[in-house]
Amino acid sequence: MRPAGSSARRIDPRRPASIGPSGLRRIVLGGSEGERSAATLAPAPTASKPLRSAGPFARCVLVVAHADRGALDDHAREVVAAAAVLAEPDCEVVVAVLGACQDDAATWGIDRMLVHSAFDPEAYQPDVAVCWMLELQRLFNPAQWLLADRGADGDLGRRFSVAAGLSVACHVVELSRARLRVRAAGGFDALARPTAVMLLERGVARAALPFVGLGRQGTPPAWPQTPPAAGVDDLGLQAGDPELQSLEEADLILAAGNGVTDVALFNALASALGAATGASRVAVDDGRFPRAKQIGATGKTVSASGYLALGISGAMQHLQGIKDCRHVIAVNRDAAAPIARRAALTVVEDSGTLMRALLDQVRQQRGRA
Amino acid sequence: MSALAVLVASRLDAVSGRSTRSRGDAAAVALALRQAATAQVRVVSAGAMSDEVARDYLALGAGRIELFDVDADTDAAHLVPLLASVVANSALVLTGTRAASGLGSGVLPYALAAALGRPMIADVVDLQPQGAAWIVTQAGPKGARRRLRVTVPAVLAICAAPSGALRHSYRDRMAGEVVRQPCPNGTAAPVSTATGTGTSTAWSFVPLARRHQVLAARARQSGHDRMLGAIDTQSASRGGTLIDAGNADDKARAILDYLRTHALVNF
Repeated sequence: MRPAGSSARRIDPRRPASIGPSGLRRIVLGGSEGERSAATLAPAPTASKPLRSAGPFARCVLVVAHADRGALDDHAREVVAAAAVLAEPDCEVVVAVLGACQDDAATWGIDRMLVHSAFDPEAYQPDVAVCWMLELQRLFNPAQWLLADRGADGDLGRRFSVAAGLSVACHVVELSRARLRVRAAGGFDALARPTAVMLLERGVARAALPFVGLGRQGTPPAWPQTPPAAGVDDLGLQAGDPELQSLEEADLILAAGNGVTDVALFNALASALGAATGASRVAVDDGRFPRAKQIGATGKTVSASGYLALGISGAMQHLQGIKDCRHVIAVNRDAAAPIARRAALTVVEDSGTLMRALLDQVRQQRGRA
Repeated sequence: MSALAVLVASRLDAVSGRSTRSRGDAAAVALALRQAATAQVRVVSAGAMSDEVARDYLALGAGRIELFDVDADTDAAHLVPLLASVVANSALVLTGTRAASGLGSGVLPYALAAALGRPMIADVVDLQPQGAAWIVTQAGPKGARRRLRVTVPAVLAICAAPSGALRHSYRDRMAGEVVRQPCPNGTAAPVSTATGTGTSTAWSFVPLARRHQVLAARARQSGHDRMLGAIDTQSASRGGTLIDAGNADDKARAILDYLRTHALVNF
């Protein structure tokens, strides 16, 4: 700092500036053209993301995923993002989805999406799905196959790699163009070059991409009409009882906070909705719910598809416990509660009044159905 | 009387470095031994296993465990036909879901089923005899259970998660018999199906990395864009729809509509 009164050069904050064609403020030093106004900090209008590659494509990388309720889930999106990030400009990102999927393909970096809408997730048909993937291989001959290593996707990927005789790496925790990393037993990591089929763990890639894909819709190969494997008959799928399964694997959770005083009504609503019940720390400390129901930093971390928070303000510790939940709905008397920033739908209402109204409607519609 | 064969392996404890029995394999042995009244149960292991670990499996109630001598550097392509020749006469082959030593890729049951030409059923939690057939219960996500009637020889991968406390009998541990056998002949030809530990992939082992690098696209941003990103308040999470107006019935209907739009309820 120069002492006061010295001949310090000062910058006029309102010196003339003009807005250039790219939307930036342009200052010509010593110039007098332009508008004399203070700089505003308004962000530029959000420019649309650039295209990853416009083609033509010489190769392709194929991602196969089961759709979850008409959309790709977060794990599958990470796998698609990993494929898009690793793809060279002449490599197309093709995603084959089993089940209806209304996702916007371009946003997730997909160049071509093949949706087999008529897929029935209730039916037991692993061999038919493998035949379908072999048909995909014949049509596309992808350089690499990427799948999420969980549930049906992991099972399908292993079956396919054995059936097609391709090299496979499972439980991949880190991936780059040159190598992949797998957790091995005994305190070691195993490194290898990328294999033909790779099953990725959660968190390998960041799903948000700075570019978009072409987002074309393609036609998947017809579902094979091969008869199911002889000797294995499907006797049916039975959904889990939400009250018996652990909170971590519940699909729909009704959670109570300090605002819920009528526990009997709360439990009646949960059983009418077919939801598992959870509670915030305050409600558990108050003795209204057992400790096993607590969701949050000191309780359980849940990954339900739907989370209905009744009378929960949304402390940071509670939000940590629901970070993997897909759809959060909040009911609170305070519209400015922190949970309102997390929730996709916030309803400003007393939780008791709303529970009664919701229970009436659920009973009516269940009776009608 | 049909026969069940259970494939077991030892596990290297990540903390103590000692060999112990694998929890998933022990669950498979326990599930098989529940059928011991109607079926003959064999417990089989190929690969290095100390007597201590073998007796840990015997403590579950098996009278005998067969250990086949296999070189430590045998890869999966050679191991699979060897195991297939050992368990070829058993109606059902039970394995764990994933090995607790080596890479633990979980491909072995699939490769074994392919080598034997049998169907493979993953994530099995229960097994009940029904006449000449077996009723197999498979665990699905979110607590779902699928029941399958299996009338042909099959390979089952047993899911360890729901199994409760396992039996541990000191008497059975000491009384059981550990049988070491040489590797059966005629298994030189590797199967063509490459597996996670197969010949086609060369793995190198390095010390465990505590943190993994997350794959993210490099954003080509100008400095001006980054500065705007730092002060950007528009795109940050501001929450979703807020419903303040209307009575409780309207609000309840809005919640129900949301649940139905996203297929979270099925009525």
